[in-house]
Amino acid sequence: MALIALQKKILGRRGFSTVGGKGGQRRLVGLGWAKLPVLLLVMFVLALSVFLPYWILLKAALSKAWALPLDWDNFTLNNFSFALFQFSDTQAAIVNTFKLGILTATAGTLVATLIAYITNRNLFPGSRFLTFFALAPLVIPGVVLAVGLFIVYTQPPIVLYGTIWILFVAYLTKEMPVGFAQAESTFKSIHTELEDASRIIGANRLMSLKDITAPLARSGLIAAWCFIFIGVIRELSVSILLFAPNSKVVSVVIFDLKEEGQIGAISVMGILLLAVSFVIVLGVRWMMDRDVVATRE
Amino acid sequence: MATVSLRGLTKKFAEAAAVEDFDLEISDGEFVALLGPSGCGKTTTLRLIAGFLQPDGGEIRVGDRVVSSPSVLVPPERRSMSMIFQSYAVWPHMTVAQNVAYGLKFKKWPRHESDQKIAKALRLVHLESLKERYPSELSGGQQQRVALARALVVEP
Repeated sequence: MALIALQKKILGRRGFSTVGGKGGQRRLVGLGWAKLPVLLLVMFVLALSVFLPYWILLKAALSKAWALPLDWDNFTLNNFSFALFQFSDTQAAIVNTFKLGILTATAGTLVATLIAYITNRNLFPGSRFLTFFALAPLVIPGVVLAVGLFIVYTQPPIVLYGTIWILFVAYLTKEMPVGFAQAESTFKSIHTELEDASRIIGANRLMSLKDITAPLARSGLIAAWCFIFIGVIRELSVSILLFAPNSKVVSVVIFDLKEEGQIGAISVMGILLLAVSFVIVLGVRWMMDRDVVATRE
Repeated sequence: MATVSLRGLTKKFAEAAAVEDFDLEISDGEFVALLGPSGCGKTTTLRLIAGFLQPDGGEIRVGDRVVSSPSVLVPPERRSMSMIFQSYAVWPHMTVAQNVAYGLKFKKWPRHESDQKIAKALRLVHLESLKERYPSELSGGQQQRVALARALVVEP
């Protein structure tokens, strides 16, 4: 909380926004003789953090015994069929995970957009305080949040425990800071005068929102949706306390499989999550690139 | 066009008065320039006249009609005014021609008449050859001229 207040104090007094659309620029830095060593260093770091773990996941998913080298004798697709078809929880968990991901991301983006717009345009006095509420979940550990929700929603008047809705509420709370931060920086980059300019020549508030603000905010808000979605499908700390037998999610199933020592099946689920996250991230990149192209034709 | 008159106009931000008890009479066809050091209230006065801010005291009349007072606020889009903003506020996702044409959406003029007016406004600011460009491909001065054409084309 103190850190959030500090950040507001440091950044809050200065206003910045993009008007002309000439924002940050990339610059090539000549490295000369250092090219090869730097490339190796970068690849080494990438290898440790990205390539090796992914490779191991893929190998474990395709091996009978994951510690042995992967050759034809050791090759199997059993892990896939076990994880996806035989292990009873997985299919329901996959459906739950994506259902929750889409629901939370959609609702979260809507709420975050609304709050960000209100605080950014200062639509009513005191609206700045909304920022604190939107960012507050950032400092609450997932487990603590989960316990709180558990206590509140296991007793009347509202009983949500045992359904996926308690997870929905938990995810929405937990991911709100992420969505809000993204939406806020989106609106910060759209100068108020762009809206004012359309009002003065005849557009009412709604029309200038639709014609001016919405197209300019679109890619930023789509990014907010994806950040929330990816955050939700990988969430464990809240899920592990709030799931019920009929509302398991993929991360919980992975945890179960770990207890059973099913490394192969875990790898399959891991690859599944990775693949979906990758597709989403690539989709966003593609959409943003297209956005830039549209303003350059 | 009509006479614009400000009487006893006051606007406070928190407790600091940005504009205090300001009187001004602008007659039909008259040009008025507000001069002064930074922070003396020029922009605030303009934003009050345009209707983006509601005054805390005094009133603004256009002709006989009160458009701004502590109790009345005609929204900017119903004032038939135009304004060029400090930042120019040219919309980056529209071409020059689309920027200029936007305001005509809200007028019920026939199509060919609108097209003529757009062409005329672009000619006036010497931007006919750049009308398919996006603002990021224009210089600052060119962007300013887009804002000018956009403000004039609606015949404020």
